[in-house]
Amino acid sequence: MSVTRDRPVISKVLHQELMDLLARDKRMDGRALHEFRKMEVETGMLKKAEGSALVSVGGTKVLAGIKVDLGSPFPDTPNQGVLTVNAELLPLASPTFEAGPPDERSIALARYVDRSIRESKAIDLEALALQPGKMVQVLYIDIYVLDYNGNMTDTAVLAAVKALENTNLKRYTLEGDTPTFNGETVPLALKDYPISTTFGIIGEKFFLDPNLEEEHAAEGFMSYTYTQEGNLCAVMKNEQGYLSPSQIFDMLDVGWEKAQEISRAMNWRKD
Amino acid sequence: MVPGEVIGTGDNRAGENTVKVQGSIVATRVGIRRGGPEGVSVIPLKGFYVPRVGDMVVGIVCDVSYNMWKVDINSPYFGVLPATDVFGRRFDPTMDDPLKQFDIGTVLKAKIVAFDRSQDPLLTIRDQDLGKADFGFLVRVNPSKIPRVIGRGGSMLSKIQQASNSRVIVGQNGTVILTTSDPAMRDKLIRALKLIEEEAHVYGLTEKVVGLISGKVEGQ
Amino acid sequence: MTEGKTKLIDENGLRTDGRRPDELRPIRIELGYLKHADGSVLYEQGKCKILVAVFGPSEVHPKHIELPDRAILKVRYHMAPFSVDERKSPAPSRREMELSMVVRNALEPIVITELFPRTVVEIFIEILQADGGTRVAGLTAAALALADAGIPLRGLVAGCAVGKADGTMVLDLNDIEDKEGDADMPIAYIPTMNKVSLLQMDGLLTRDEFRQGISMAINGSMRTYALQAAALKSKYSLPENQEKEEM
Repeated sequence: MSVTRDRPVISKVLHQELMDLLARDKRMDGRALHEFRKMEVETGMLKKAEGSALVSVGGTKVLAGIKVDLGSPFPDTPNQGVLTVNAELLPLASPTFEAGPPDERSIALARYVDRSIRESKAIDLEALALQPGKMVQVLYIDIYVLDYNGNMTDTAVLAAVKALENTNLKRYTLEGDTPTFNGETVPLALKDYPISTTFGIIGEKFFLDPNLEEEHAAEGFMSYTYTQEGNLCAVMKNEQGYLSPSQIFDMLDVGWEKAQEISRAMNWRKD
Repeated sequence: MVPGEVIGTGDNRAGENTVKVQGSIVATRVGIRRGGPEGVSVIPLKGFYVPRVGDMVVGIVCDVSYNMWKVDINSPYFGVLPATDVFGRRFDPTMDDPLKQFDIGTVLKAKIVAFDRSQDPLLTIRDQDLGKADFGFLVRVNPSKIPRVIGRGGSMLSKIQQASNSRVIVGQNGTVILTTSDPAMRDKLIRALKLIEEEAHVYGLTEKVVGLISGKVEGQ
Repeated sequence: MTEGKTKLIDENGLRTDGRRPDELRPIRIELGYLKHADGSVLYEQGKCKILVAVFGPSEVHPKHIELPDRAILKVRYHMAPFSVDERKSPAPSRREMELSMVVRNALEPIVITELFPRTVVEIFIEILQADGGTRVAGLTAAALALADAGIPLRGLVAGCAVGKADGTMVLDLNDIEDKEGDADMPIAYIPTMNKVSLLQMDGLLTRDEFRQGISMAINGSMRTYALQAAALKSKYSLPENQEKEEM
C-alpha cells in the first residue's frame, strides 16, 4: 500500500526565492542550472567487504558495500551468476527515514540501481557461473544512504559502480562437486560504467542534481542512466508531478552531456 | 463531459465541478455541461456531499462523547453536534448525559452552522423542523440529484408528497426520510427516487414520477 | 531480460499475437463493476484482466497521517497469486511496493486533492490476470474508477508500454515481449494537459529509440484515452454537449 507522504514544510519565503532564481536560470547555492555539486569518491575502505566505495555528492553521502557468496542460480538463468541489490535509507541520514523494513523509497532506489547495472551489462554474469545450473557466485550490492541532502539516486548508482570497480572475486577450484577457494583473487572486470543523472522539475524548469531544499520544492524528478556509449539502460520519473514530452527530450540531451563529464572525471573516458 | 474536457475559455466564470487548467476551464467530473450568464458548470452524474453552511441534513449519530455527538452525514466529513446545542449553555456534564438524550443510531434532522476546510462541520438542531426523527425509512440518494428531487421552487417534492399523501423529508446530503407507514407506497417512493437519480436530465420526469407514485404508470 | 530464442517478430513483421508493431491490444471496459465501491471498473487489455475499486473521500485512519490542506491517496497495486504462470505468493513483493508508489505518483497530479483536506481516497488495483503492461493498464483503469466514483479530477490519465522486440519498437507489450524483448518502457500520459505522469525504462535503448518509443507510447496513450472517455460517456448515456434546462 503506497500512501501520500507529508512533505517537509518549506517556508514560503524560501520557496519564493527559489522560484525567482529559477526563473532567471539561477540556483540558491550559486550553481549553474545543470551543474553537479562537488563529488568525492573513496574506494576500498571496508576491509570485510569484497568491494566498497563511499561517494559524496554535495552533502549527500552513500556507502556501497559488495559481498560475494556462493549459491544456486535462478532456475530461468542457470548459466548466470546472481546479482542482488538492496538499499537502506538509514534513520541517521534524514529525519524522514525511519527504522524498519525497507520502505517504498528504498525499494525503488535499490531497483533503479539494479536496473542501471544489470541492463547496461556492466557485469558479465556468465563469468560468475562456476558450475552452470548448480553453483554460481552471488553478488550482493548493499547501498547505505548515510547522509541525505538531495539526489541519492545518482550518488547511489555511482557508489555501486565504484564499489564494483573495486571488487575482488575469489577464484575457486572444483574438486568433484565442491568448489574450494584457491587463495587467489581477481578483480571483477566491469564491461561498462553506467552513470545516472537526475533532474528536479518545477513547472517549466528543470535542473540537475537537486539539493535538499530543491527536492522539497520540486514537483517531480527524472533520472536517466547512460552506458558509456550513450545508450539508456534505465529511466525513472520519480515522485508526484508531471512533465511535458519536450522536457523529457531536453533532459535526455543535457543528461548525456553531463554523464560524459562524469565519465571523464572518473577516468572512464579519455577524450 | 469527462474530467479534463474543456468546457469554457478563461473568460467564463468557473462554476461547479470545473477547474482552471492551463488557461481553460475543464470539467472535473463526468456529467452534463451547463452554461449560462453565471458561468459554466457541470452537473455531475455522481458526487459525494460536501457540507455547506445553511444546509439541512439528515444524519445518524455514530459516536458520543461527554460533550458532543458525532453524526454521520453521508459525507467524507462527520458532523459535530455540541452538547450545548441541546442542553443549553448551562450544560453540566455531571448531570446531563448525551448518551441518554440521543444514543448511537438516532436519526437527526440538523442544520450546518459552520464548516471550513480546517474543521469538521458544526451542526445545530435548534430550529424549526429540526431534531430527532422518531420514525421513517431512510433512503440514500446521490447528493448531486437532490436539487432535482426538490425541484424548482420545491415543485417536484410537493408533487411527490401530494401523490403519496405523506411527508418526505429531504436532506441536502442525500439522505431522505420517508414517513409513510404503507410498505407498498414506500416501495413506490423508493423507485421514484431511483428514477429521479437515473433520469435527472430527461424531460418529462415530473410526470413520470407522479405517475409511478399514483400507480397510473407501470414501473419505469 | 533473458536471452530468448523466441522469434518476436515474424517475416511478415507481425508479432507473436499477430499484431503490427503499432497496434494496441483490444480493450474492454466495464464501469461500476462492484456495487459497494464508490467507483470501480473491470478492465481488460488483451489478456490482462484488472479489477480496480475506489473508496472515498473518507476519514483517515490513523488520524495522524492526514494532511491539513489536502486529501491523501492510498494506492495498492497487487497481483493475485493465480494471475501469473507460476503461483505468486500473496504477500506484497518489492516490485508491487515500487509499482504501488509509481502508480500513486502518476495519479496524484490528476486528483484535485486540495478540495477535500483531511480525507483519504483509497485505490485498490488487483491484477487478476497478467500479460505484460500491468502497471499502466492498472493506472488507466484506476483513472476510470476514480471518475466512476465522482472524485474531482483535473483530467484523465492513460498509459501504454512500449518495448523493443527483435530490433523493432513495439507498442503495448505483451508478456513474452516484456520478458524476452530488449526494453520495457511504460508511460502514463494526460492527453488534455500534454503531460507525462509516469515514465520508467528498463532495458537497453539508444537515445533515438528512446525518443521514438516516447512518441509511440504517447500516441498509444491517446488512443487509450479515447476509449476511456467513450466508456464513461456511454455508461451514463451522455449525448455530446447536452444543455440541461429543466431544473
